[in-house]
Formats: sequence, C-alpha cells, structure tokens
Amino acid sequence: MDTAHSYRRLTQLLSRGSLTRFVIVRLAATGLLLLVLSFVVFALLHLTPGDPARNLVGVRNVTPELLQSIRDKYHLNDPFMSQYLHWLGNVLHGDFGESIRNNTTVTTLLSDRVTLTLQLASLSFVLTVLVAVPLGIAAAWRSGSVLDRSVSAASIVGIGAPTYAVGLLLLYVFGLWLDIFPVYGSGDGGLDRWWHLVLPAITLASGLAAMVFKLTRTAVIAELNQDYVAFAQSRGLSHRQIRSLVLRNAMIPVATSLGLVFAFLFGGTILVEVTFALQGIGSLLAGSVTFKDLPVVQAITLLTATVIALTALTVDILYYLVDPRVRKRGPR
Amino acid sequence: MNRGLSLNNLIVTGPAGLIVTCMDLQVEPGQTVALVGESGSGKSMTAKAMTGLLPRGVTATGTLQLGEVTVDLALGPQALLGLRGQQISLLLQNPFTSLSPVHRCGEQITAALSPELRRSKEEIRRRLDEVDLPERVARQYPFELSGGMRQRVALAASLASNPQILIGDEPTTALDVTTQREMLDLLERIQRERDMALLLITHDLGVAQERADKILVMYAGRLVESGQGAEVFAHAQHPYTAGLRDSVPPLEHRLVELRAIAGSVPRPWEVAVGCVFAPRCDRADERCHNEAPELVGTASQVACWKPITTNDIHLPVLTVSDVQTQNTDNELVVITGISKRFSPSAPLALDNVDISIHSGEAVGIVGESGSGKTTLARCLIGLESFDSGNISWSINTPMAQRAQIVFQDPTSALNPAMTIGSALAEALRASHRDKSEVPALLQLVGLPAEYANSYPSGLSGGEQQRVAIARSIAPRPKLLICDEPVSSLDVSVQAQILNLMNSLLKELGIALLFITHDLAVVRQVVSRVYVMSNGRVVESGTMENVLLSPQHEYTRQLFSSVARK
Repeated sequence: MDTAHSYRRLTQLLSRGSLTRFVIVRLAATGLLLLVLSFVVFALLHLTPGDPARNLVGVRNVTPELLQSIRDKYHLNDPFMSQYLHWLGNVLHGDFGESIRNNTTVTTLLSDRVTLTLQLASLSFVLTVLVAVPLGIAAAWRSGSVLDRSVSAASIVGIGAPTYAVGLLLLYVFGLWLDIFPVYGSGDGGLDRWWHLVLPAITLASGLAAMVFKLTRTAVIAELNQDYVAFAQSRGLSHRQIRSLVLRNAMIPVATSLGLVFAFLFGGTILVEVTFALQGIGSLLAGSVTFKDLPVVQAITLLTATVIALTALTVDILYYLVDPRVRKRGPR
Repeated sequence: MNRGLSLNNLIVTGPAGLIVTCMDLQVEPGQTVALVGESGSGKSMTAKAMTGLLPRGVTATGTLQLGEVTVDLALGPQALLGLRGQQISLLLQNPFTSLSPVHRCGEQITAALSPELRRSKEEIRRRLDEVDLPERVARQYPFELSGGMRQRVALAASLASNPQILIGDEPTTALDVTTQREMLDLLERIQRERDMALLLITHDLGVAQERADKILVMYAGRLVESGQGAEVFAHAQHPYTAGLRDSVPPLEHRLVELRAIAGSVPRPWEVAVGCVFAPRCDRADERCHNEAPELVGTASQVACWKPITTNDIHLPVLTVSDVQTQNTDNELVVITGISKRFSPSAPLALDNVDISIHSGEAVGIVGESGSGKTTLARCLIGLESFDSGNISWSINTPMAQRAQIVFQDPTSALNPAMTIGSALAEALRASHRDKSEVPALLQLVGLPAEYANSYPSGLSGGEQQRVAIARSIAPRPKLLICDEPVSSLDVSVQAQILNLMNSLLKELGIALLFITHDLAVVRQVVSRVYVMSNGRVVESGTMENVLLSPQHEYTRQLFSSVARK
C-alpha cells in the first residue's frame, strides 16, 4: 500500500512535462557536457608540445630526479585513460594539482579570485538588468519618443566604446577628479570590497547594458506588433493588463540574452581586472597562460565552462516556467 | 433605445494618401451586414478605424454612433476607450496569432471582466459553454487547441464584456472548410441569442450571400454597391460586383473559361480622377475616366455612371463536361504505398498512399490542412524524405526536368533581391538553356517582356504568381506541381491564374498535380481527383464521379460544407 503510494508519487514526479523530470534530464545533459569538456581540458596537457613532465615544471631548471618524481606524482607513465580517471577523481574532490608558478595548490590560489570575479560579474549583471531591461521596455512602449531616441543613441556609444577606455574615463572622473570611488585594488572585504567593485562593474555593464537594452527593446516591439495586442485592445483590456501580456511573451527572448550576458561576464572580466588592478580569475588566467601554468589554466577553463553550463541550465528552467510550449514538449 | 452602429463619412488617410473615402454604413441590432472586397479595398482599415486600432501614421475622420454615444473618430483611439469591449468588439482573422501563446485560455477569455467574476469558475464555464467548448479548455493553452477551437476561445474573449456590436474581420478565413461552417453557425446563433449587431468583413462572396442581411461591396477604398442579401450579386448593377461574381469558380460545372476581371486592384491613393474601377471596366467611357460617380439609390445603392440593368444582354456561360482521362497506360509517375512519420510520437503524415499521374494529365489532390497533401507533394519532388514506399518515374531525365513546384505564397517564393529576368534566367541555366528565352517565357504567362527588369516588389500578387509559374516551367518539366497556387490571391486574380493554367496545360502538354482545399477551384482545372484525409487517400476518381456521388463520409462532409456555407 505504502510502496504503491510512493511509486505513484514517483511516477507522478517523473511524468512527461513535470518540472522534476525536466530538471533531472537537463542536469544529466549538463553533467555529460562537463564530462566531455573535462576530457578535452585534461588532454590539453598532452596536446601541448613537449614532455608533459617538463611542461608541469615550467621554465625552471630540472634534474632528472625531479622529473622522475613529477612523473610518479602525476602518474605520467600510466596509460592515458587511467591518468585521466585519476585526474578526474582529484578534480571532483576539488584538487586541481599544484600551480607551477606559485608553490601553492591551485585550489587555494583560485578560491579568493573566483569569489572576486563572481562578485564583480554578479554586480555588473544586476546593474545591467536593472538599467537595461526597464529602459528597453519603456523605449519600446514609446518607440520614436525622445526617451527612445536618446537611450538608443547612448546605447550605440555603449556598444562602440572599448571597455578599457570606459574604465579609464570612469577612473579619471570618479576616482581622481571627484574622488568618490577608490582607483585600484579589491578592498578589505565586506562592504569595502563592494565599494571597490562599483567602478569596474559599471565599466563592464556599460557595453552589456547597451546590448541588453537593444535586445529588450526589439523583443518588446516585436510583441507589441502581434495580433494578440490589437485583439486585447479591441476587447477593452486595461493598459496594465496588456503590458503584462506583452512582457510575459517578451521575457522569452530577453531571458536568452541575459543568460548569454552572464556567461560572457564571467569569462570577460580580464580587461577590467587589469585596468582596476583587481585580483580576479581573468588576470590570473592571462598570467598563467603566459607562464604555461597548465594546472591553473585547466582549472579556470573547467570552472568557466561549469558556470556557462549552469547559466544555460538556469535559462532552460526559466523557459520551462515561462513558456507552456516548452513544458508540454519536454526538454529538447 | 437605439443599440446599433452607424458610421458616417469615414475617411482614412495613410502616409501615401487616402485609404478609405467617404464610407457610410449602418448595422441594426440582430442584423448581419457583410462588407465585401478584395485585398486593398479598405475593408479591414474600416474595421480598424471603428475600433481605434489604426496603425501608426494612419488617421481617420468621421463620426461613429454606438447606441446612444457619438464618437468623433478624429480624436484618435482615446475617444474609444471605455467603449471597446463594452460596446464594440473586434474578432480577428487568425486564431493562431490573436491569442497570447503563454497565457491560459480561461485567463484570456475573462481578462476583461471584473476581478470577482474573473475568479468565478461558474462564469468561465458559462462563457465556454456559450461557444460550445468543454470546461477543460479554460486550463489549456492556445497551442494545445485546433484552429477552430482557438477561434471559439477568441470569440468568447471578444464577447466577454457583452458588446452590442461585433465586427468579424475575416473570422473564418484561416479555418478549414468544414470548421468554417461550424464557426459561422455559432456566430449566427450567438448573434440571435444576444440580439447583437454583426459586421462581417469577408472576401468570400459565398459566406456573404449565405449569411448577410445586407451586403456592401468595397473597391479601392470606396463603397461601390450595396443592397439586400444575395440580391446584390444576383442583380449586380456595378460592373465590378458582376465581375467579382463571375470570377468565382462554380462547383456545379466546369467552365471553358472563367470570366476574370483584367488587371489588379489599384492602390486607393493612386486613383486620381474618375471612377476607381474605370481602368479595368469594359463599359467605361470618357465620363467614367474623368468624373467620380456618387453612391445613389435607396433600397440598393450603386456608384456607377453606366450601371448594368435588366436590359443588358447577359452572356451565357459556356460550360464543358469534365475532360475524361484518356485511358492510356502512359503513366508518368506512380507512387505506391508511401508512408511518412515526422517524429516517432506523431501520427502518420502519409499512410500508405498510392497515386499515379499519366503524361499530360491534370490531377487534383483535395484535403484540409493536416491531411498530408503538401507532404505528399514535397516527397514527390524530393524536398522531403519518406519512410517506406516507392516513387517510380517512367522517364530518366534529371529531377529538374521531371517535376517543378509552384508554392502558395509567391511573395516569399521569389527572391526579393533578384530581378524577374535574372530569376528566370537562373531557372533556364539550371536546365542548360539560354537566357534569351526569358521574353518568350514571360509572354507564355501573359506578362510583358519589360517585366524582366522589375523586382518582385513592383508586381502585384497575381503577377508574382505568374512569374513563379514561368520559373517552374522554364526547365520544361513533364510534371508541374502546384501547391495551393491561388489561395493567397484575390478572387478576380484567382480566375486569371486558373485560366492561365488551363491554357498552359493545353499549350505545353505537360502533366499537372494541383493541390488545394478548394473543390470548386480544382474542378475548373483537373479531370481526376484524389481526396486526402489524415494522411490517407480516402477517395479517388474522375472529378465528375467524385462530385456527383461522393462515396466516403469525409468527401460528403467536405462537399456539403462548400455547397452551403
């Protein structure tokens, strides 16, 4: 009786079109994708020209004994697949090996920097959404108005201006001239950290906000031209009701673009990190590539891929909640 | 209390000029008035002006009397706030786009009601019941419903605030013929129950004659004739009305040639002086070209200097018996047992279909949307693969010289960036022929050779379809497949294209596969017909036999829904 009940409950949870099933299927797909990526990332070590053991010591002078100890430590004499599985096992436990440049584990090296980059990306994401989406909606609603034309013009500047130029300009005006914000570094934690991130976040957000503004505006205008809007007007629905009809429909393309924006942000902070002397993963990646610090490059690549995959998963779940057509069809 | 609608002296102006000129119309409660016209006649703009939905850049003047309220249309949409939905409501053509895809049907139907009523299950049930829909529809989304059911949801939504006037802008055009009749019956019943005024905007003369108490005929933004019900067409006074009537292909017999109106509908603002119809009218004299006629008359009105009277000789219509198939063994292509499924969970799109086409024979495939007729055509020409079955051709030439296809919408079938001449030259080159044949091709489809230098956008819909046909016959195929070639065209242009197809068949001696939902249209062209339903061929035979004694239930249903709308 009880088992029958829980079985029924389970089948109900996993029935076609249920959210649980949708999330499970998408999670499985995301996991598979990351597994494939981890394989490619691991293969990087062996694709790099030269002896893997030498690659792992970098540019330092080495004795044959040291090389041998590295071979033993990384199991470099084992077959390729067994090396991979060993490495993957460590990665799943949070162990990416040791950095070649700094004599610390990759994990300790990354932990602070990932937090900083995530904070920076999140802050500029929130800024982008809060500014661009409402402006896009307002401009679409009154397309051709002064508001629409001035914001559209500003967005062209936003898209066109290079990140470092905007960053330097903001630094000059708000950091040096008006002396409101700090000019470099990442602060002493807590609120001070966020205070230090304001200018970099605005710098990053300026270009993205312009893009999101354009996408939102286009999406809303496209919906406003749909028959269902004219039909709603002819039935005498209130302005507020029509707006909710339109926004729910326009959310679908906007959510896609926001997913892309976040993924881009996480991997695209490097210029800003350099301009504002922030110790994030962007600047670390740049340095590690130059010094052939392979374990760090592997870790950052895999981490960025994970963030992008999780963002895509979030967007898919959002789709599921907003668009009933996706709900009935199930995950693709 | 007067509850009807009265529109006085409506003038609609767009960026290019006048769209609707001096339009008057009245609809009484319980009365159905049909506004008939081809595309560009201004009938939809009239509806939009009455509901304050004119597109940006288009303005209206005139007065609209809704019951006791008088609205000055020059004040713009604001003047209609509070009246839309409550007094006057508009039902749109396409049920696939007129509902929001991400909101439940129940929610959309009751959106205009007060918050208390919106939550009432009883109210939603009552609203759905009125349009013959089951209660479950309230929780469903539009994409889960058929076109007919969606249009019922839209109807229930447009009636939510109990308007006294309903405008239906081609409310049944996007539906299949059998569904169309059910929808019209439903509209009629609801109109009677609610004693509502109904303004039916349609291009379908059959619908207008069958359903309307009064018919108004519009042409190029002007009212040219009006009168009681079917009288307007039976005793047409305006040459345009008569031409429109004669352009409609009859189901009862096959004509030697349809009486098409030459040319195409002008844009209203291009008509400078004189009668709007004069350039296409064979009765026009100098006065018609110089002076615009006024709408005159009492019971029936007509705007014409030389109206048709009972004294005019009415030319007899020449009919022919349907051409019988020469019983030859000369089969061009034989399709045996073709089946196709688009996805494992979908029903069979084609279910064991057998079809044969003889050389030089005109064959029709009739069916509603989703019957598999288009899929079959696409399989035949190689645009679609099939799961099982066989297509065997009796000729060995390359595919381009075996079969060519003409699609429904010529505007999207022609590359807008390519001149007509280069489009045709490209088709000729594909079959290793010289571009010097372009003028001859154009002539063959009844277009002047100068059109070679024009772009598709400069041509009317009918002219574009002529180009599409010319492009298809350029490689000299043995079989021409036409998939709904006239359904996006106006009636008067449709007649021209049907005449053209008949003359091409005679001249070139090629075989034709004509795919359509319209029995009357296919009757004018083919000698043998297959009827398809749910992916299967349910009936086949000569046109005459199928029409005289339909064997299958589906064919009978199709037939009766066409015979009386």
